[in-house]
Amino acid sequence: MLASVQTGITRLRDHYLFQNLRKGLRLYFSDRITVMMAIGFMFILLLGVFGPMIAPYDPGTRHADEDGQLIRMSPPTADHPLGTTEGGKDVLSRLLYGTRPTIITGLMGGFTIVGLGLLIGVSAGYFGGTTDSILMRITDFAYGIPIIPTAILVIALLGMGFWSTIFIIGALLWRGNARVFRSQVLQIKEREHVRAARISGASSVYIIARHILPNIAGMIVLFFALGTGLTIIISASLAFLGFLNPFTPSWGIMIRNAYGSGVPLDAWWWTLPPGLAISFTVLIIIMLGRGYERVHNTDVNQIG
Amino acid sequence: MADSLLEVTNLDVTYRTKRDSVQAVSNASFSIESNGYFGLVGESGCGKSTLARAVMNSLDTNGEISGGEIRYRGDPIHNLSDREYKNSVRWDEIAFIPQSAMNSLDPLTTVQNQALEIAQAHKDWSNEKTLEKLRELFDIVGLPQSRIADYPHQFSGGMKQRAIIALSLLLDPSLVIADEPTTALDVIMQDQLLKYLDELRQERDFSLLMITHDIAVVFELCDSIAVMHGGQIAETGGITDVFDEPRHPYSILLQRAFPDVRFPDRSLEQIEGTPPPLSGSVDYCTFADRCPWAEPDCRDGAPPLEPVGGDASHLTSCIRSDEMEELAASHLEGRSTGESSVQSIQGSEQ
Amino acid sequence: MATELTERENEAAPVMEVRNVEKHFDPSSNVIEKLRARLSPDSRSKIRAVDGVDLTLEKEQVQGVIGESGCGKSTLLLTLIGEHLPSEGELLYKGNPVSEFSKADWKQFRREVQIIFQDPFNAINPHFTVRQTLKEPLRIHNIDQTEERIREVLEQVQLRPAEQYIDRHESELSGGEKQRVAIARALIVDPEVILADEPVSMLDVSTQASVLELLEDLTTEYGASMMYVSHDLSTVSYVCDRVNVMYLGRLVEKAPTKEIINNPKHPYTQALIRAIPIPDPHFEREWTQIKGAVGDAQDLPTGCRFKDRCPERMDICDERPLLRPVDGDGGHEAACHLYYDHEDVVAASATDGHAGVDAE
Repeated sequence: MLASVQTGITRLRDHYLFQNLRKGLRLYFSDRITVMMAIGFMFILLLGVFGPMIAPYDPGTRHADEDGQLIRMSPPTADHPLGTTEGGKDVLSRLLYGTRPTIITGLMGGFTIVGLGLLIGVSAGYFGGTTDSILMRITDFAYGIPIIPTAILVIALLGMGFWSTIFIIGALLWRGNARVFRSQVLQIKEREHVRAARISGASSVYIIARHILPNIAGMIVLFFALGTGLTIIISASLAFLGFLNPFTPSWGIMIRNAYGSGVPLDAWWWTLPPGLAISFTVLIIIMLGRGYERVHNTDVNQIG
Repeated sequence: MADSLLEVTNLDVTYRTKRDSVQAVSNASFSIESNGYFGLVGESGCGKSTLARAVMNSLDTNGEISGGEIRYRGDPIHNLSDREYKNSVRWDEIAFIPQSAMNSLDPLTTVQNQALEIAQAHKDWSNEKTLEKLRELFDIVGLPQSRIADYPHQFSGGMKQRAIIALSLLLDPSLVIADEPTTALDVIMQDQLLKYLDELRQERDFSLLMITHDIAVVFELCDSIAVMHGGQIAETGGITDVFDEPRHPYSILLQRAFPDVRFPDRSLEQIEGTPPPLSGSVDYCTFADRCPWAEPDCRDGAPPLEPVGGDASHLTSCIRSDEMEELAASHLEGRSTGESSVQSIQGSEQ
Repeated sequence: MATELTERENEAAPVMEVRNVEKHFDPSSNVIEKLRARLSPDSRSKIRAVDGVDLTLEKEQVQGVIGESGCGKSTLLLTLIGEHLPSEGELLYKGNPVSEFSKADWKQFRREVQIIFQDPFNAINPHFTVRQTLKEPLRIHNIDQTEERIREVLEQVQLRPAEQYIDRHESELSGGEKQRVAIARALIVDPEVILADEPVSMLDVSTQASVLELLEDLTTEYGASMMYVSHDLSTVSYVCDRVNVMYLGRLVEKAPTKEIINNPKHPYTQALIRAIPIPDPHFEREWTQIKGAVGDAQDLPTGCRFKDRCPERMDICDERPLLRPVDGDGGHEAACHLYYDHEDVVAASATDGHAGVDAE
C-alpha cells in the first residue's frame, strides 16, 4: 500500500504539470518586488483567516470607561491602539474583523468578472461570425450601463446583501476584459499549431482548453487580479454611498461610518486605517497579477 | 586601402544583458570602396545586422562597440555621440534601409512630406528643390513621378521598397546600407529592384552595403563580399576571388547549399548543427563545431583574418585555409565554369 | 481501417482531383456591406482567389504549385485540406466527391490528408513538449498513443536520438528542428497525402537542404503523395516531379519539372525563371523586362490576366486562354494564345457539342 502511494507520488512529481509548476514558481519569485508583494499578500490572508482571533475585542462591543461613560472618538491609547469610533467601538478590532469580508468579496468579484469576460470574449473570438457580432453588441451595451444607478436598481429589487454586490459588479465589469480576450483569441487562433489541430479535426472544446487558454493564462491571472482589486474598491465605494449592509464591518463600511460622524478629518485614527488597508491590499493584489504576467511573457518569449 | 569609403577594422560588438554579455561581432574587418557594391552574407543570428547597426550608430541601448574601429573616408565614426553622428553622417553621408523597410514609412504622411522632413532635418534646401530631387529619384527607381504625393498604403510592397530607396538617396549619401532589401519581395519584383540598383551604379557615384542571406543576389550584383558566421568574418574579398577560390569551410559549404536553377539535379550541401551561443568572449572559431575539417587548434584562439595566397584583398579566417583547396576538393568540383544545362536561362559566360 | 470511404475507393482513380475549383472571398467586413453584396451580386467585388483550377494528383506523385504572392496558391492548398470549401467546382478524394462526404468520411479524410505550414516558429504550442505535440494527432484520430510510435517518427525525421528531443519544449528547438517536429506530427498518423505550404522558406539555407531531402524521402519511402506550394522554383524543382504555375488564381502552365525549367512556354513562366538569381558572378544574367506588379485580385481584367504585363501580348489575349497541350506529349500544358488558335478551338468544340468552354 505504502509502496504504491510512493510510486504515485513519484509519478506525480515527474508529471509535466508539476515540473512546469515548479519552474513557473521559481521564475515568478525571481523578481524581488513580486516576492515582497507575495509576503504582503500572505500577511493579509493571514489577517483574513486569523483576524477575528487576534482581535483584542469583539467589533460590536461598545466600550465604557470606569465612570460608565462610553469612550467615544478616542485617539489611540494603550487599550485601544487605533482609538475608538463614535459609538465607542474599538477600531483595531473592527479593522481586523473587516479583512475577511473585504477579501472574500474581492475574490468572488474577481472570479465573476474574469469568468464572464472569458466566456464571452473567448466565444466571440473563437466562434466568430454571428456569435461574435451578437456578443460584441452585448458588450457594447454593457459599456453603456452606469454602475451606481444600476446598483440602486438591483438593491431595490434584491435587497442589500453580499450577493447583490457581486451581482452588480460582476454583471457589468466583465466588459473590459471581454474585448481584450477576444482580440487575443483572434490572434492565437491563426497560429499554425492551432490550425493544425483544427484541420486535424480536434473538437472546439479541446482546442480552447489546450491551445487557447494556456496561451492567454498570463492575461487571465492579470485580469483576475485587476478584477479583485476593482471589486474591493467598488464595493468600498458602494458601502460609502450607503448601498451595502451597514452591519458587516467591512473596511468600506468603516470609512462610511467615520465619514458619517461628521468629523472624519479629526478622527484620523478611524478614517485612515481602513483607507490605507484598502489601498495597500489592492496594490498588492495588482502587483501580484502583474508579476505573473511578466513571467508568462518571458517564458513564452524565449523563442530562439 | 587609402581611398576606402568605409573601413571596418577588428570590430567587436557586445550586448550586455542582466546576466551576461554576448559578443555578437568578433574581430570583423572589411572595407568598401567608393562606388563599390558590397554584399555581407550570413544566416540568421550571424551578426550581420548588428554590424550594420554599429556602422550606423544605432545599436540597441544595451549594445556597444567594445573594440576596433570604423572609419568613414578615413575619419573614425565609431566613437561619435548620437548627435555628432546625426549631424555629420546620418542620411547625409550614410543612409540606412532597415529590414522590412516597407513598414518604416510613416503611414500617416505622404512620401513627399516625409522627404521634406528629411531634407529639413539635415539640409536647408527649399521645398521646391527637395521635391524636384524626389521626382528625379522616383524616375530612377522606376516609380511614376506623380506618385510622390501618395500615402504609403497606396503603394504595393515592391513599390514601397523602391520608394524607401528613393528617400534614402535624397540627400546624396555616398553609402547606402540596406538590410535584406529583397527578402520580402517576390522573385520578379526582386529582379526589378536589382535592375534599378544596378543602373544606379552608373548614374551616381555611390556605394551599397547589402546585407542578406541570399548569396545568389550578392554574386550577381556586388563586386565584393564578406561571409559571416557566428559573429566572425569567415571570408572576404572580391566577388570572383571568393567564388573561384573560396578558402573558408563555411563559404565553401554555404555556396553549395544554395540551389542553382541551372543544375536542378545537383545535390545541396547540408551543414550540420547551428551556430553556437556567443556568451562571454569569443576566442575560438565559431564554425568549428559544424566544420568537417576542424582540428583541436581551431578552438584554441580566435582565428585571425589572413590573406589568401599573396592577395591582400582576399582574406579568410581559417587556420587551415592553405589546405582547403585539397581538403574540400570534392566540394569544389563541378564549379560552374560555363555551360548550363538549361537553355532558357538567357545569359552569357564571361 | 476499413471504412466506408475505403470501400468506395476507386483503385485506379487519382488520389486527389480538383475540377474547376473556385474559391471566392467576400471583402466586405461589416453587416451592411454583406447585405448589399447579397442583394445585388456584383461579381467584381469578390476576391477570386482561386478561379477555375484543374489538378490531378496521382499516387506517390509529388507536384508543385509555384507562383508569387497573391496568386492564390495558399488558398488552393487550404481548399485541398478542407479548411475552405470550394465556392464552385469539385474536390475529389480517391474518386469520391468531398461534397458527398459523410461525417465518417471526413474523419478519414482528415487523417489521411495532412498539412505542413510555412512558419515553424508558431507551429508548435509553446506549452507542449515534443511528446505532447506528437501525441495530439494520435489522440484526435483515436490511434494508440504509444511511446514507440513517437520515437519511431522522430527517427524518421532525423531527430536522433529520439530521447534527446522527446521532452524538449519549443523554445529548446532550432528552426529546422521545429519544422521537423511539424513534419513528424503530420507523419505520425500515416497520411496518404501531404500538403506543404512553403515549408522551407523561413529556414536558413543550410537547414533548407536537409529538410528538402527529408521531404523528398517521404514520398518514396512512405508512399505518400505530396502537393508542394512555394514561390521559390529552386526548391520546388528539388522535390517535385511536376510543376504547376499559378498566376492570379489560374494555372497558366503545367509540366514535368525539367520541362518547366528547360522549356517554359508561358511568358509568365519564362519571366519567372529568368528572374531567378544565379549564384555565379561569371554568369551574366539579363535583368527582367517585365514591368509593374502582380495585379489587384479584386479588379481583374477580362481575358488573360497576364496580358497587361506580357511582352507578347496580342489582340486575342482579351479572350481567356484555355489550358492546352503544347509540343510533345510529355504532359506539358500552357494557357497561352501563342500556342493555339483560339477561334479554331472554340469553333471545334461548339460543333462537337461540348458544353462548357469558358471564354470571357
